[in-house]
Amino acid sequence: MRSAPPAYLWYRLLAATTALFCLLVGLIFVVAFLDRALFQVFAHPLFETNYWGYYILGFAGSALLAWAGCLLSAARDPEHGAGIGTATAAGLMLGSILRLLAWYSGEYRLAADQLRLESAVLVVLALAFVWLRPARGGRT
Amino acid sequence: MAAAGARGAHLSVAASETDGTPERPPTRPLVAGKIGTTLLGCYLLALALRIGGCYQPELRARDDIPGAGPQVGEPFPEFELPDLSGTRIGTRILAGTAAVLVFAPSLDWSPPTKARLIDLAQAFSGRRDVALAVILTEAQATPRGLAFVRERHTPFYYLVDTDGVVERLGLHTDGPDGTAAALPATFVVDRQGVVRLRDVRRQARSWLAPEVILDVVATSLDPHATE
Repeated sequence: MRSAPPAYLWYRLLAATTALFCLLVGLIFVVAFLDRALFQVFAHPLFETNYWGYYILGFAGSALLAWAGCLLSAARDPEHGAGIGTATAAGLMLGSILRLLAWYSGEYRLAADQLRLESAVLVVLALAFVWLRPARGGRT
Repeated sequence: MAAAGARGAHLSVAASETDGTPERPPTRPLVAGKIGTTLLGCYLLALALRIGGCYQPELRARDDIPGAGPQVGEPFPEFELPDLSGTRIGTRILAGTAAVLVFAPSLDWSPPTKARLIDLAQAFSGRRDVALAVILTEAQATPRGLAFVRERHTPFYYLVDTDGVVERLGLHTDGPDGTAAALPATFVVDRQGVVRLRDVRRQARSWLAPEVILDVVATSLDPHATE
């Protein structure tokens, strides 16, 4: 006899996958900052930027780690973490808009169409969060 | 009305909780928000797919203003302009090598011009046999434009037109803020100072692809090339 799938299975999977991605990128950013600021373990710097760029990387990495934690909690308890899905969708939409603006600015010409691709992926992810998230206070 | 209903529902929840009988709060209608977000998302998706058409390189040279600047086969008029360090660079210094003269509207308010120069810099990186000069009007030598130059390490001479060269060639226009700017134009000049390629445009949103410029430069560097 097959057991019923857990509630909001797709939402849980989406939140957990996004959390893992945030965790990975956040760790890379924090490690890059620590390497530049303190340890100089890597022969080549992880990112071609200056000390202020690394400071911002450390800041962004910390925020991503916190975001990953929130998403993991939403994956564990979707009904009580519905707001995290909404905030994540808003953040992803903003990220998508920023990438399009970056593409338009001409400054990131060497990234070619990567920014457009990232923007499209972020929008799709945001829409998935919007449509899969549980209604606040109960199941829809 | 709906808000009052929702407040009432919350009150009833609180009351039922005090009675010890937990009750689910009513589901809030989210469909309108979902539809609005979906519409925004679809718009962004369409933008991400179509924004490539905002500006892009073209494989065909254009001549939007035939009377502006020298024609192909004519010598490029002599000029001498200061670069950003104050060194004066001109046709005499550029003589003896192939040169690409890029008239740039602005490195401040013109995103396509930045993209065009980054494209060109990538295509010509490591080339020591070609001189590349970007010519800006004096009004466009702004701090933000200079920041772009400082950060990019592009293999160009950045010449500031303090001598009215842009206007004499008929390549002048007004920027969006009313200041003088150059039309987006590209000239390839051979070792003898003769124009081998001319590309003059009214709009900066498209530019001549660097591979086309590279082809013409290769031809003008070839000592056996015929006219």
